[in-house]
Amino acid sequence: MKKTIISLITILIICTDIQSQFIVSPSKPNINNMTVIDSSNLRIWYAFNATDIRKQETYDDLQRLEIGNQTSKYYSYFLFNDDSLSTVWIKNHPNAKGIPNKFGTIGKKDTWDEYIFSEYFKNYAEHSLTQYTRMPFGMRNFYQYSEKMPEQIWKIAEDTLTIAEYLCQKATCRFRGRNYTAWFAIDIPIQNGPWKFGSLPGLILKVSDNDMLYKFECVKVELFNKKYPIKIHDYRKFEKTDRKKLDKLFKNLYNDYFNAVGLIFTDTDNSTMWKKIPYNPLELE
Amino acid sequence: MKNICYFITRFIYVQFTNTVNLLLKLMPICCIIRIKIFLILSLCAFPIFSLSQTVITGNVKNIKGEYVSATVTVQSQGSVAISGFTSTNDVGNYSLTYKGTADSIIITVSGINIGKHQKTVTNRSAQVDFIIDEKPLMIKEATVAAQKIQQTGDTLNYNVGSYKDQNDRVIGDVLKKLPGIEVDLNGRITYNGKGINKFYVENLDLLQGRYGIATNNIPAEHVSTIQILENHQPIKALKDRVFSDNAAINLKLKDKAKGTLSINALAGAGYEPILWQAELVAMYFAQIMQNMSTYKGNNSGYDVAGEFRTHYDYERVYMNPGGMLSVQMPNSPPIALKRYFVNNSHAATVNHLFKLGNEQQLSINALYYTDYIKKNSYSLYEQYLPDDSVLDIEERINSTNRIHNAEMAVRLNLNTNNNYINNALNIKGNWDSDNALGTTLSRFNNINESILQHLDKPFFSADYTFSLIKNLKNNFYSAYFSAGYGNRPHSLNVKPANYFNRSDLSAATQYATLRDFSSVFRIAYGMKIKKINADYAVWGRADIKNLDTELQYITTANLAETADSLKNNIYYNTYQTGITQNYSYKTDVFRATLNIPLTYNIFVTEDRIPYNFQRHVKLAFYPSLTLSYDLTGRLTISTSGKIDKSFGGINSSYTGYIMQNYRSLLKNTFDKLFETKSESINASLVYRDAFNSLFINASMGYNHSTKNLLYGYDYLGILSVKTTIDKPVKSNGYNVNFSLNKGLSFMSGTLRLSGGYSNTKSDILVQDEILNYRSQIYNARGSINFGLFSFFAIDYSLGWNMNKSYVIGKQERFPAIRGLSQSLKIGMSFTKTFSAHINGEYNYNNSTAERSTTFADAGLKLKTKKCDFELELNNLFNSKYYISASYSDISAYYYRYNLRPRSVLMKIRFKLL
Repeated sequence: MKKTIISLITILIICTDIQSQFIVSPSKPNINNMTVIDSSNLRIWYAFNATDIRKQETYDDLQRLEIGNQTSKYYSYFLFNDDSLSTVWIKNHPNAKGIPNKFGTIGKKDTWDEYIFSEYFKNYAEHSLTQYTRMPFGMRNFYQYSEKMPEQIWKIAEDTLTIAEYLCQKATCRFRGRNYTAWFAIDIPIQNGPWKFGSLPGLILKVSDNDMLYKFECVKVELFNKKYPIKIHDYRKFEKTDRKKLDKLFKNLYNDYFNAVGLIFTDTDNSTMWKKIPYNPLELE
Repeated sequence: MKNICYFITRFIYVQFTNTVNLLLKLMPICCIIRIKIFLILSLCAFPIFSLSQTVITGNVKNIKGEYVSATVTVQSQGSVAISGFTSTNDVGNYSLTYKGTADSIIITVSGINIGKHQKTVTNRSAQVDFIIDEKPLMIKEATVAAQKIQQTGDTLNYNVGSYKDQNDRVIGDVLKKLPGIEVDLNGRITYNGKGINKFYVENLDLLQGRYGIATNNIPAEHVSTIQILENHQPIKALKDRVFSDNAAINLKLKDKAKGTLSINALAGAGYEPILWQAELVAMYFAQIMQNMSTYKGNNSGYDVAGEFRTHYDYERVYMNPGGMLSVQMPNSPPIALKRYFVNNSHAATVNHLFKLGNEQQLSINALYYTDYIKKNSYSLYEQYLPDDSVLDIEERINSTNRIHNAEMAVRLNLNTNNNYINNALNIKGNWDSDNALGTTLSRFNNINESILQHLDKPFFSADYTFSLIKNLKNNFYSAYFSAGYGNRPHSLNVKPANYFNRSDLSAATQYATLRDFSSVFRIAYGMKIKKINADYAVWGRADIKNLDTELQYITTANLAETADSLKNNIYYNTYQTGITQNYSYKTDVFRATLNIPLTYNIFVTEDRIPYNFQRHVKLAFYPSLTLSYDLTGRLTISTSGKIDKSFGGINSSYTGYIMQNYRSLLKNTFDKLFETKSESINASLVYRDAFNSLFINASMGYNHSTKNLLYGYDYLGILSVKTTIDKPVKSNGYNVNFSLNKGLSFMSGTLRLSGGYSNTKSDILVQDEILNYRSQIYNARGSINFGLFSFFAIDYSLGWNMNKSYVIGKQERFPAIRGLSQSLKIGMSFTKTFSAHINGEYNYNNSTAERSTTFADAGLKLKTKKCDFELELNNLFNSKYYISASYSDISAYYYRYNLRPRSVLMKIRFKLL
């Protein structure tokens, strides 16, 4: 009931907000409904597309990699923070008509993005990666897919660079249609990294594509004396699909959001034309 | 080179094996033998390409004999970079290739749970096995961004949609509901008890402190988000250098409200007496330009000038429009303005902002206000004289105020991360006059006079300010200059003037012109020493004031009489120069500020009638300290203390008589420079929890002051004359206050509670006797607003106060004065377009004969596609007077103020564009 009211109000807001794009889905998950799947001592924080690494407001997102014994989880911290503060707020305002737009620090990206609204789980034993994506407002479903653990074939070079006080070595590869440069920490022998990256003898602390469209850079390496739990939301309702189909859907959304989502407008003002957003996904193949 | 060798050897190998295969095919021997020969022949070729790469294979096990999953790397000895890597398979085996030319190589087996284990071997293919003692790898924590990851950050975003209800028309209606925000009767907005320091619309400050124009006119439906920017430092160059604990508000507009000119109008008419109301509001908000222009006029008791109040201003010399003379007029009662304000007001303002380039803006603000206000009241004033006699003065007065105010401000400023420049010019003109006709009765001398008072009080001022702040790495420079001129040629005419103890006076006219010129110049330098910000400034200031007065007696024979004792022509000039030092220290949880100003003052008084020249030189030191500590993320405790000194002033320097109002004469016996020294200390506790919507403020303070002269009044009949005694006098007081603001979970409601107590003690002089006077004030207030069933919006408030004052050593004359006030507002939304409201107010005061007054109002609103209709009924019970009394042990004041009658007003609000 509350969800319908909130959705209805958001529809009203959209109808009057023609120019704004990609309103995020208003339903935020309750963080108390998460289940524990693993535990870890280590958490690495990455700045996604930061203009100034010292200032969080200039990042598109702040993301975290949690490495457990059987799985690792890579997800958006800004979104998680927003969800947890919303959960607390909703508990305290059960009859509220709507909730504040966003809690916590806001990055510079205020529209929906696949790489911010997805969570990636790598399963070592099954050698697989599962992606769960929250779709923008208007999409009736949320989606998930599993694929064989992506492996990159890196070529390591001799250059070194210090990132987050760790000495890192350079490696390059071509992965699914783009060329990447990564820096892995020689002293952290974990074959993992942000997003779908891994397959290097050390933890990847910085990786970017050669066109500089996407950049992941480590801002903090956090250690815990006592293991903390790695949790997952209740993703059972996320419809299963495959990567290619999902990429096609994203492309349609960027090209013509209104059509892809099925929004119908009663006012026939010509300014309701959707402005096509350039679509530059990480995976071109 | 390596690659070529490899290709050559591989080519040779391929050719060799092809030849071998061909030979084998031709040979008529059985398969197994063929394979054996092939293998032998292949092995011969092996040494040819093994020259360019080393292959290391092996197995990794732990001390228990179990296979270990690990990353295996190889590097040249002496090199930190890795040359090759692989992982062990499920039985612990690995195979690595090294293509370098070092003599020795290091094989490393590592994993986060097993540790790091190395073996150095010579550069040749070999089998290298590991049996390792698993120990988790110790890695260290590291942070790149030094900022703490904050949960709430410095910006709170409130979605207007969730706080707005159907009865909220303008954004001010929504602002009042946000937890932590208070809007007082004057339109001043505070967040957590502290006034906001900036009000932005789409990040631009169009109104320059007169934000009432925005909160009263911008429609709530045009705003998408209200942002509260905590700890806001508006000067970008001072960010992180000068800490601010004030917040700012920014309105983010919906896209439909940007880039379009919107004009709204209102027209209304009503009865008792004939009422009218008109408004025209135009606004335009775009990326590089913003404009808000309004015209408002009415005679129905609505305040149009209130929204022009300046709530925050940049630093500048300020010319006060007030003068020394006044007309004896009824006091305004402490109730809503619309109940007693008999007006005929017109106000217009034009505010325009141009954004020139990225960081520069030009803003022009002009306003004009004119009014004709009528007041009617009866008052009785009783002064208890030390000889136990009572002086009573009864006045029945009808007065009118005519107001004409015009003001214009032009401001050009630049605000970048490294530079801040402000250029501002203000011009102001007032042509006001007050008129009062009344009857004055007193048992003293059986006075029964009909007195006419007329005061003309024009005022003109102009001031210009320039300030510059420049940032360089760890230091900053700033220069500030401001100069202003003000002129107040006032005159008060009183007819008749019999009570001056002369029977031949038909009138008395007081002329008093006060002109002043001020200019101040300051250069400052700021630097950072580790975590301490140090600011030093050197400044100079000159204030030149001239008071030119003459009191003329007009006799019945129409002759004007005056004397030197009734004239003044005095120049009171203050020249100051000083050095200030300001230190501030800030960590994530603690802030301290220490101010050490040292000032050298020269006071020059040149009185020309009679001639008297005096010069005083005073050195003053006014330190102040503020400390604030965040006990937790939500609780902050702070304390501050300061010492202050002030000297003289033109009001304590003139020696000729000035008739301040028709029954008050002022003059000074000027022997010494009047000095006040004060010390104050206060502490406060602030708790803020935005997510539970709970804000609590508690504070207490103490102050003490010493003055070197005691001022008082002597009564000659109904005329009071100011006297001075050369005796130091002390006064002190303390106060305790608290306030609590809680957002309620039902329907965005808010609960507010506040209370306080203050106690002051001072010496006063009455009729040559010094009395030790004490006053205690208690107050408590609670209010709650909430919605019910999305149909009702209810607002209830209750206030209580108690006032006790007495003279020590004398028997208490009167009990404490107690007052109680309650108000209830009910808003009803019948449909999306039709709503009604009904209000009731009840005021009780135990000191008056008629102890309570009750008011009731009602209204209806109907929204249609094109316009909004509003019907208002005010003062349904037709309460005629507001009665109030206040007592102290030295005087009693009782008054009865005439209110506006019951009225009905119909208004139409429509959109022109």
